This record gives sequence, C-alpha cells and structure tokens, in this order.
Amino acid sequence: MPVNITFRSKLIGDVHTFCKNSKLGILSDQLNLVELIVLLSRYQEEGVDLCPRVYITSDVQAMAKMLPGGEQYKLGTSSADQKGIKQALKKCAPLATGNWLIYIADAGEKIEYGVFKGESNPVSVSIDSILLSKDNDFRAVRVTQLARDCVETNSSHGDRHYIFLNHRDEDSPPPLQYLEKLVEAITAKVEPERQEALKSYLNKLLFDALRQSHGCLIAVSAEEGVPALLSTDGVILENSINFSELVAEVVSKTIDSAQLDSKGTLLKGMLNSDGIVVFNQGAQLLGFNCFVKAANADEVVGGARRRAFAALASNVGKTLSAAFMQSQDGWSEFSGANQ
Amino acid sequence: MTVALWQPTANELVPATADTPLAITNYALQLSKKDKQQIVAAFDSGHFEMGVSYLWGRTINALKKELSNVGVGLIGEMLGRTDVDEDDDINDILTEKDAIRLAEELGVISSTDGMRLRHTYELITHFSQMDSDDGDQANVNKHEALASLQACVAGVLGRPKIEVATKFIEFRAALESKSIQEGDPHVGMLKGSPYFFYKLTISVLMNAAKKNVGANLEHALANINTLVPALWDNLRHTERWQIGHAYAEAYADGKTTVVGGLKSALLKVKGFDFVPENLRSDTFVKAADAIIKAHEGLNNFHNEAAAVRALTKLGTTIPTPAFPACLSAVLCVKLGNKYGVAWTAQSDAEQILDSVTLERWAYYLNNVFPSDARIFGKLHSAKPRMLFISLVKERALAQVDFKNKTVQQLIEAASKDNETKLEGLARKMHDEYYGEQTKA
Repeated sequence: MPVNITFRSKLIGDVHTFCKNSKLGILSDQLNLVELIVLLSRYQEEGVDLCPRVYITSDVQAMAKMLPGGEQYKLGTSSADQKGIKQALKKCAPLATGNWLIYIADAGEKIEYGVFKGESNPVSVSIDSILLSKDNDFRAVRVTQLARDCVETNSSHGDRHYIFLNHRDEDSPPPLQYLEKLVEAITAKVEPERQEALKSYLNKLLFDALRQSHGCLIAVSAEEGVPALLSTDGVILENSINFSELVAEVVSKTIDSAQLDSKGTLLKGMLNSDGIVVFNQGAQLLGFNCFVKAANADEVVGGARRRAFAALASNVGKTLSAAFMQSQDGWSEFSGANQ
Repeated sequence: MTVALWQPTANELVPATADTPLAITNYALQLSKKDKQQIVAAFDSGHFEMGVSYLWGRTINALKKELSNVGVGLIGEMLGRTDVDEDDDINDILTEKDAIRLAEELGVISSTDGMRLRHTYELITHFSQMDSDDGDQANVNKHEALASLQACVAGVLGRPKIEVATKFIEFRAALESKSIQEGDPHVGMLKGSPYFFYKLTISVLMNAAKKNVGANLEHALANINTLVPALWDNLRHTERWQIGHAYAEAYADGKTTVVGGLKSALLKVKGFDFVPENLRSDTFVKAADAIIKAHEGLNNFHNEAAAVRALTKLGTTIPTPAFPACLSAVLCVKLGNKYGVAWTAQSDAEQILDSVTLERWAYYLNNVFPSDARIFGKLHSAKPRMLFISLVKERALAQVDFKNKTVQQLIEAASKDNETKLEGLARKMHDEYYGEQTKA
C-alpha cells in the first residue's frame, strides 16, 4: 500500500516548542499554526498573490493602547481551530494591504479577528519593536510570508523561525536577511541624531517595496554622486531625493508626511523598473534604470541580474560601498565594503 | 522631609535707606549707565509713566534672559506648551506674567518680589489700556513709580547677571548625566517634596527624552524608569497624560530608543490608559495655549475673544488628554483678573463650560485643580474670587464626589459664599503645591 509523505508531520514537530513557549491558547494545538503557515506561504485571493502580516495575540486591547494614532476594525469571530483561522484569513487578507495588518485574538474557545494599523506617519516606530517585546503584559506572535514558500514566525517571547516549504538547505539564509545591511550602507554617512528615525523608515519602506518587487538591484555609491560605472547608461535624477532630509523635516513637522510618502512611492516604482537603483551613503536616491556591463557569462551561473550583481560586487570597496540583489523568487544577496 | 533643591535667597539688594530714583538705580547692576540716567531723568522731570514703562522693558528682558538659562525647551514644558524647542526665542513663548510665575517657581525670585513685580506689571497694563481721554486725567504718581522702581531693582535688576537657580541647573543636569538608582537618597527626598517638584521633575525628564541622544538619553530613560514608578501613585492626571503624550509623540517620530524606555516605565505603572489615542489633542492644547497667551499678555480684554472663538471652532468634545489645558484656559477667561473680564470672550467661554459634564468637573477638580496654580492663584484677587463663587453655585460643583480634602473645603466655602474661608483655602492650596519654603 502506498504511503503518503508530506512536510506536515515534520512541521508539526518543529513548531511544537514555539507554540508551547508562546503560551497562547489558540496555539496549544500546533495544527493551528501549521495551517496558518501553509496558508500564508502561497496565499492568493481571486488569483491575486497576497502576503498579509498576521499577529496572534492574547490581548488585542492592550496591543492597541501601545499604538497611539492607530486604528482597529473587528471583522468577526470564529472557532479557535483550523477552520476558524482559514475563515479569519479569508475575510481579512484582502484588506490587509498598505499599513493594515491582521490580528487574531484569543477569546477563550473562540477567536476574534480583524485588521489594525499603527500610526500613519511613515517615520513612526516599527510595530514589531513594540508588540514583539518580552516586557509586554500580553503575548504576541507574528506570522508573515517573506517570500514564496518562506514564512517567518516571530514572537514576543523571543523565538523566531524561518520556515522553508521548499527544498532549500536548513542553513540557507532567509530572504531579505540583508535588508538591514543594505539600510546600514545607505545611511552610513547620515548624522547620528537622524539615523534612528531614518533607518526605521527605510527598513519599513524597503521591506514593503522589495516584497512587491519582482526582483531588483540596488547599488550604494561610495561617492556623493553616481559613479562612472553606472552613470553612462541610466536615468540620473537632476535633483536627488534626499530621504535623510525628508525624514528630518517630517519629524520636525516642517513638511507633511504625505510628501515623504510620495517619494517612497517613487522608489517603489523605480524598484519595479529594469536596471539598478542607485543611492549614496547619505540616503540620497541618485538614479534608477542604470545598467552595468555584465560580468563574463562563463564566470557567473545565472541570468542577467545575477551577472549584473557580480559586476557590481566586483566594484564594492572601490566606487561602490555596497550592492544588493533580490531575485525574482524573493531571495537576496549582498556585498558590502564593511561586510 | 522637604527637599530644598533650589530656594529664593534672602533679598536685601536695595537697602531701605535708598529712597530716591538716583539712590535706587545705583543698586541696579544690570542697568547700563545710560539706562540709569534716562530713568532718573524721567522720574526727576515727573514723567513717571514713561520712566516706569522703560524700566519695565529692561526688567522683563533681564528676567526672561535669566530664565532662558534653564533651557527654552524646559520652559516650554513647564508651561505645558507642546510646540516649543531649544531654537525658539524666549520672548515668543513667555508672557510677562508667566515669566514672573516661573521665576518664582524656580526660586529665582521670592514670592514677595514676585507679588511686587506683578503689581508693577498690572500698574503698567492698567495705564496702557486706558483710552486717551482717561489717560489724560489719570497718571502714575510718584509714590507708585518709586515703588515700581524699588520692586524692579530689588527683584531683578539689582542681581548680578546669570546668577540664576544654580542648584536647579545642577539638579536638572544630574537627571540627564547620571542614572539615579532606586535606593538613591534623591528619590526619597523627591518623594517627600511638594507637588511642584514632582511636576518639574516629570517635565525635565520628558524634555530630556525628547531632545537628548546617546549617553544623556540613556541616563534620562533610566531615570524615567526609576522616578516615574516612584512618583506615579501621587502623580496627577496632567502629568500622567504628559508622560503618555511623550510616548505617543516619540512613537510617531520614529524614536525607537525613547519609545522602548517610556514603554518600559508605562508598563511598570500600568499607565497605558494615559497614552492618547492620537495626537489630535495637540490641536486643542495649542488653542488653549493661545488663550493663556492672550489672557496674560497686554490688551488681554481685546485679544481673548478671538483665541476662545478658535477653541470653540475645534468642536465641543475636547479630547481627555487636552481637557486639563483647555478647561484651565477657559477658566482664566471666565474668572478674568483683578480688573475684570473680557466681556467679548464670555459667551464663547460659557458655551465651552456648558459642554463640561459634572463627571468632567469632578475629573478636573480632583486631578487637575490641585496643581493648576494659575487658577487657584486667581482666588487671591477679589473679582476673580467672586466670579469663582458664582461659577461654583451656577454649576453646582459642590455635588462633585471629592477626593482631595482641601479642594472639597474650598468648593464648599465657595458654594456657601464664604469668601474669607475661600481665600484662606486658596493660600493653603498654594502652600500644598509649592511647599512652605517658597515664602519669603
């Protein structure tokens, strides 16, 4: 008789400790978390790929109080089982775009679900740094798709996992693992007092932008302007977009946050364009749609993007301070002068 | 035990024997030779009003300059202003009345000097607000002019420059430059201090969290986590909202480190009920600040109406975090000053007061009024006191469920028309707030 082999039994065993440490009633049955992970790994509604961020919490009111300027809409209640989780996701996922997130709250034998968001100001502190902290009075777990077939589970009790639902090696780096290094490179020459809010903003912006992108290349120039390597073939902005200045002006209330949002939208568009997006180390966006003479095809295994990345990486430490590549499936690579 | 972090010094800057303009101005160390000559010339030629106005300009500038040494940001926090930072000009944010009050609170001048300076200010305001016909008939007389000169020199101009509140600056620096442990004697001393010191400490710490970076920020956040839990049970709602507001503001501005520190302190005291749901209340607080500025500035009877109208336009539902500031501002207009009230502002002020429920009055009287020095300070003057009595009776404030015994006695005295008792209880509130040591 044929025997079925699935990831399921392996996954149930692996999330056991995570569920136990979470002390959340709904996760006392690991199958609930497994269901959520599997659903999120390739979530679609009406043929559209969706990657909502889901927060499971023991106290949604306490959570909301920590997010002043935020909003919350309860969308329903259901049973605290796999069916209930599926229902919560179906109702909430299409709404959980932009800044909106999904919450699932323990309510005894039932769960309450809905959507919530933090402060609309784009420079506000990241929600995770507030909700996923050990000293909170409540418990919280965040489950998010990072890339197709890769889901991250993170919790306020400190456990964090990347779950690959494909054939990647156990020691594979997670997708977007280099995001923080990229942001460090982009902000390396920004005044220290401006860095905190700027990094928080760029991390959020690039996380969203890279998740929506179908692959991209970012170069960080070691000079003020675009290096010759990239300036011959590309769109170089006459007036660079200075994110450091913009964030400082939003914090000091000199400009409305909508002005910063609009520049963020431009960056997202640039990341969806062909070619390389170029920053300098002062968080200035210098140009996009730049092309570089690719490395020799014999030396690099991969397509045009990977060969372009190899060419950029060979210039890191010279005219570039860092190079970043995100492939179409969401996985990234990074080369930095201070790596 | 009462901590004496800063105290007014004994004031014998002008001896009683100095009784002529020339003799008094000789003690004015902060006046130039030219200033002294001009003031003496104006007094000698009988131009008392001109001389006193000139003298007052020099006095208030010197006082504001002294106060700016403690930090413009802190002055803003002490005034409850949310829109002030170190780059602002002290002249833009500080009214003359505020300058005198803060100088008293910081121990720069004694309460007696403060009273005399306030009197000089009222004298100038009174004569400057007269229309031309009245002004031609009434003048500042020699006796009033000499008393003003004496007050300005003894209170401010007779001091060497930059003598300000050195002990206070040291205390403030310690809050930002070292981490005070729970068992530190400072904590015990602070807990035994009058409420004014609590309020000031919270202002210093919130201001430090807002503007500092690096090690100073770490010290400030560590001190917030030591001192806020130590003071919390005795903190009134105004100060609790101030901490919650600081958290909300830091969160919106992307200050991850500050948010972490304040969050930890708020968790220790279960204080997240005092984090405003949004920063919409800032608009109300700014409108309330504008009313206070109009009320305490020159031409207040003319300027108050527009400022109160601006507050009414924001809507009748005042957000709870802004309620203390708004009600205090409206009460300033309603109670007026020793010369009367701005009649043109009364109907809008009444409209706002009509929207205040008895529950909200209870909230104000129990949690805000005991530290609302601006309002209980008004009860020392006859006209505001009479208007307060009317207000208490009209709005049946004696029905409130009181938590503070002095406030209860004060409201009961007002509802029974007992003006003498009311005045005495207002003085008691002053002493409870500032402590006995501020008496000169």
